[in-house]
Amino acid sequence: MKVLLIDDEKELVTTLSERLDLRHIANDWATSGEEGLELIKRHAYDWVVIDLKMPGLGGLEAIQRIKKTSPSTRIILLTGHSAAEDLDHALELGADRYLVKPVDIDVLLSLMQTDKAQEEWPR
Amino acid sequence: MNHNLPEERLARLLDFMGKVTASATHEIKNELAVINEQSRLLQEMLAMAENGREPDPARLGQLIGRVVVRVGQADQAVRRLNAFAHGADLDRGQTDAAHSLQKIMGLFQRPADMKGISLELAAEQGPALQVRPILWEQLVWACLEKTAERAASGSKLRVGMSKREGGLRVEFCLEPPAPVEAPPPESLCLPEVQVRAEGDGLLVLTTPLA
Repeated sequence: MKVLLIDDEKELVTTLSERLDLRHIANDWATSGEEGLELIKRHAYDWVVIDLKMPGLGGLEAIQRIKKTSPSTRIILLTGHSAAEDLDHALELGADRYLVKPVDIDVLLSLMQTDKAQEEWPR
Repeated sequence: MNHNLPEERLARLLDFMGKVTASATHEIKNELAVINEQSRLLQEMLAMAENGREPDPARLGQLIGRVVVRVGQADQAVRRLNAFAHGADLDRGQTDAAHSLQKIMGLFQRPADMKGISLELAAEQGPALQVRPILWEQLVWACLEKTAERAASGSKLRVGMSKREGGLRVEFCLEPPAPVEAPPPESLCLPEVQVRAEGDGLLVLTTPLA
């Protein structure tokens, strides 16, 4: 399994990356949607974990482009406290799962390990 | 509660307070998310030490140092939000305009970051305005929003405040310059203050309030 982490908060993404390293999970990280898309063009990822609110190319637009570039890559949307309509929109655009910050790494990994779609988006 | 505000202005005020608190709580949530990651990593490194794998002391020290920094940043964000909340106190009928400007620019930092623009403030101490701080702050926020609307990523939004006879002159402009539209008077909680587009920026003039 190879994971790409995208969040404009560099300390969050690098620390999460280090925690995945400790679990021997191959991963890369990017601090913008644009940078993440460049990586997706050059490497194959099973999962992309992406923040919803980022400067420049935001999470929603990035999800759309990721699905266009790499349809088989699955996406987990990271949110702070987002409106239900944002999450619905993300689902329509192709996000497979969501996770509310702060990240619980065990929950993150269990989301990646199950094929079952997340049943409900928060309201 | 006697707030002496017409319903329409009260609605604008609530909209403004909603925007500020949503933005500030996002900022706090972000800090907590980073602190969470760093403290969890520390916990995992220490758990590995118990199992005989020596953690790198330099990395441990660096992580602890960053947790301290991020706790400080979260504390600043909470202080800004708390100071903002007190601006709505009904018994405060006077505003230190420079202080309020500084406070609102601090709260506008996140929306500015999301647009990739930097903020710069040059304010000289002016006369106190005889209005409730929250009303002045709503006007400042509306001007910042209108100016930022036209800013390209990488721009600088400059705010300058100086004294004028009987009041204050506040300018909002962009670098590189871009034409800015004034917020409609009906969107402001202080319709008696003049706000107009001038040159490539916004000009706010107060007269009867000082």
